[in-house]
Amino acid sequence: MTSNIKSNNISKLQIEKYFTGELGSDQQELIKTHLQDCSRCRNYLTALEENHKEFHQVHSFNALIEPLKITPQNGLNKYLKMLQQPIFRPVFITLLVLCISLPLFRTLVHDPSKFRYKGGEQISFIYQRNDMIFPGSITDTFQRNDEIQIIYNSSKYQYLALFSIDSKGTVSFYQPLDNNKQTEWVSVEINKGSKVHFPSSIILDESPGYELIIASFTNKPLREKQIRHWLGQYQSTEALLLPDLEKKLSGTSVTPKGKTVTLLLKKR
Amino acid sequence: MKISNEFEQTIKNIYHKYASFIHFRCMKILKSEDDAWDVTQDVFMKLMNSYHTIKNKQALLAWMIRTSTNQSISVLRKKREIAFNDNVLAIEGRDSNHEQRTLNRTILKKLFKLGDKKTIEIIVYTYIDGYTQEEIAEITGMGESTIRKYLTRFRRKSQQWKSTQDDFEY
Repeated sequence: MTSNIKSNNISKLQIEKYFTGELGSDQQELIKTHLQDCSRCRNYLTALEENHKEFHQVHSFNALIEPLKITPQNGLNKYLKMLQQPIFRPVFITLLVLCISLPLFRTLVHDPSKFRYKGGEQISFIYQRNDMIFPGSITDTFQRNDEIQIIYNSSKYQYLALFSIDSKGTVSFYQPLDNNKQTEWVSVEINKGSKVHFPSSIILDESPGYELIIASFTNKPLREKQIRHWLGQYQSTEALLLPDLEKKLSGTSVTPKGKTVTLLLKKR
Repeated sequence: MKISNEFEQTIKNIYHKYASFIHFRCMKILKSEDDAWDVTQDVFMKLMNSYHTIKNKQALLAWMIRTSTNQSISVLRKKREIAFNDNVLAIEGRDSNHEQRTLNRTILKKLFKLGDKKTIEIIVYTYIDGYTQEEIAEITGMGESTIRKYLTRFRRKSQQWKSTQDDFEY
């Protein structure tokens, strides 16, 4: 900004700059000359100078700097002190009520397992034999009338179709009956969750060999026809061993974005 | 805050040059010694935190004026009662003009409670400090036409406020 000092055109700001020592020597000389003739500006400068003396008698630099040389502890105390003001009390009370009530509400209303699970799609199982329940393992050998309960993990809301193939090539579907009626739709709606029991169980028959249990996770419900068609791609006229079929099905899905999980159970 | 000896000396020099003037201005706006000292401390706290970002360290007056004005406005807005008196319009070295006489306490109170911060800042510079538009442009970095717009807007608003008042003064 160019200087606008003319002989009689000294601004208030320039007097203030003169007072605080911001003007160069030439400009200072001009101001001094002006002050000799202008009582108004002289009075203002005098007021600033008198105030300067009084101010520094009362407010030393140490009074400013010492409180500002704070340790982290003191800094925290400053904020704690600020937060103790009455205006913050309703905020704290509200936060306290929310902290207590929200977890309680969620526990009472929602199934925690539906919200805690963050993993991918998986299945495991337990089985019932002679009125006793056992944890399932694919290394066990199973027998006729063993009741297999599939337990699944799902990462989102989607559909699950559960079916199996035995060593004879017979495909069985395990969807719950819709009002006791058979339906072409073989998928059930599932939500996000872990260790959820599938709504129907598998009772093994007497056929020997293996039972390949397939869980198909998809975004849309599946029809029986779709699944049979999909399976048909992997089964040929030649007898296909179920372990080999399991390997073929691994990583595939009935629908493009779905997921297939298998369990191969050995039967006596 | 960790302060090196060298930086402390720098701040001490700045304090000696500017603090009394800042306090002097704040007293005019805030009418309270305690508030004026609090604002002065806040200004220097801000200075210490942002000193390295200030471009022209040899000419801090404009920065000091701007910062102390904004801080003072914040303090006033938090207060329930703003104690303006007639002396607020007495500007050193300047004669009261027609416009200044039309301003009264009620309008100033309303301005500080309802007005936007930029307008209040311009009004403080114009009517409390008595700076010219050229000086305000230098302090704020705004163009003079922008400053005139703010003033025009304020005058229009104060006319509306005045027309609803019973104790209107000229």
